[in-house]
Amino acid sequence: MIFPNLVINDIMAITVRTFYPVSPDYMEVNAWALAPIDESAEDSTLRLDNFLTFLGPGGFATPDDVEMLESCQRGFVNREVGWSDLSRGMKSERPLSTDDLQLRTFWRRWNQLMTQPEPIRARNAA
Amino acid sequence: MSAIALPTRQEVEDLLYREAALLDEWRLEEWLEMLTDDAIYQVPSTDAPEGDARNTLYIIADDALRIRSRVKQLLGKSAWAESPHSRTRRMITNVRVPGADGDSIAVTANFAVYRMRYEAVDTYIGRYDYRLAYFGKELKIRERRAILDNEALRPHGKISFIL
Repeated sequence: MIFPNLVINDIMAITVRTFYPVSPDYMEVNAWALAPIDESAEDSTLRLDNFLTFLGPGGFATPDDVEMLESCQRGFVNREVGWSDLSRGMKSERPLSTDDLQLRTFWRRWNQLMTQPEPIRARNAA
Repeated sequence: MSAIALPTRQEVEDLLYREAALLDEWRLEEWLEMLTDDAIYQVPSTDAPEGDARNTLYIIADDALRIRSRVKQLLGKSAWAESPHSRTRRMITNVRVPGADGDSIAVTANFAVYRMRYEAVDTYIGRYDYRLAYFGKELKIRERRAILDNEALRPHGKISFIL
């Protein structure tokens, strides 16, 4: 994950994703399949097949990820509290990969960029 | 002239309508029985509808084994996008039986498939290209390709059921 909205996933195949929250109830996720330029025809067929099995809008995993994203949005709209609990591992010296450290880091930076005064924001964007 | 006697359009329509009913009713195990043992099911990408799955990224390119895995997953509890199952309704029209290649009978038809879930309606529009084959007197599906006219999969974002 590269802040703020680029994801490179090296799993069944390499997929590069971006995500753009267009409005509070709509997000556009783009995905690309990454391939070597000099790939042989046979390797290409194997890679494409491997990609399809798991990834993409008709794969065995991605449609469920899309569903999760939509389910989260439905949940956020309907809840009463104004915050999310991302405290997992907050007191541990060495955070585990399953802790929420990366989420806290993401949202701290997001908060910093969104709340700092305009001139600083412009300078950061430049 | 074709090497084998072609089925009538009505016979082909009966098969397509039966398939549509089984899929809309989520009777996927029964649907599998309509397929040959070497059946394939493909959905090309919306930006390359006539591309070849060997060198073009498809949305779905299942061989017989993967079709069965897909059905197993869809009927299990961990297919979150389809648990509970969405409602679907298929309209199949413009059925044509242009000819046969060896023992494979070519069939084309137009479709409009609606998927309803959480008060949203997703519409999938396109053309089916089928290859059918006779096993004794029974007509079976050897190949089914759903070629979408939709220019993109937004806002659906997925094809989480058998199209």
